[in-house]
Amino acid sequence: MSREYAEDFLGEDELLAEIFREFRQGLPERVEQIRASLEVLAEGYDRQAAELFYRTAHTLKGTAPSFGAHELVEPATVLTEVGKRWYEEGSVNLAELAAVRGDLELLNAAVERYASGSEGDASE
Amino acid sequence: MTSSFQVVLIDDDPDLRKLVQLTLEFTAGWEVTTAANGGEGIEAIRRVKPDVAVVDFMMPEMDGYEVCRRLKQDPETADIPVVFLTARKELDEVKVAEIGARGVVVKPFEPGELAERLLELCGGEV
Repeated sequence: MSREYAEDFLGEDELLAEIFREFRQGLPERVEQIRASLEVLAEGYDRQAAELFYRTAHTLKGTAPSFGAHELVEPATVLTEVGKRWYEEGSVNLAELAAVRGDLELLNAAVERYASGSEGDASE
Repeated sequence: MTSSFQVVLIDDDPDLRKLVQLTLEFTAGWEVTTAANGGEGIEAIRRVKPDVAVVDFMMPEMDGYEVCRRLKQDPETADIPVVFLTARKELDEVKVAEIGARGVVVKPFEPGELAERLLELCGGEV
């Protein structure tokens, strides 16, 4: 939906609800980006994948609370910290992979709960 | 708050850009121009000459520090207040001041409180 269309045809509450809806609908893609970059890193260190992993988790951590998605913050923070370390060190600690995959599943579960509408309604 | 107050917002997260834009436009009546990266943002700032530039700190290719540094080096944009948006609580406040930024809004923030915080940081100039 273009902003011009939205402003012409929707009110403030509807616009806000639409922005929340777009955020919610985009979450699986963000999780998938983290998952895909993690799987690249599992095969060996790749700077681009490390950066994508770190930045995607970091951005989600910062953005989620503004959309009422507070439950996403903790798992996104854990992934951000691991991703930052891997990116800055230029290497992946393979011994951490299982734990990181578990953290990613925690994030995915939190996303699914949020996407089901249990929290983060724009009207809150 | 005046309705002609101009903001350029630079953030690589499209959802946050839309949320902040909507909030500032509807709650504060400000005019908001958005950009997805530092390069686009600097162009927008040169074009719009906003009352404040709100710049995400951590962006790919050009981070907030670099955006601010370039703005401060250009006589046409040097006086435009720059406020960083950041999820990094450890952001060095001294460095922020040294580089000429007006201050920091730490993510997460309540969108509805952003206008007030920007006013505080800009010393009521807006």
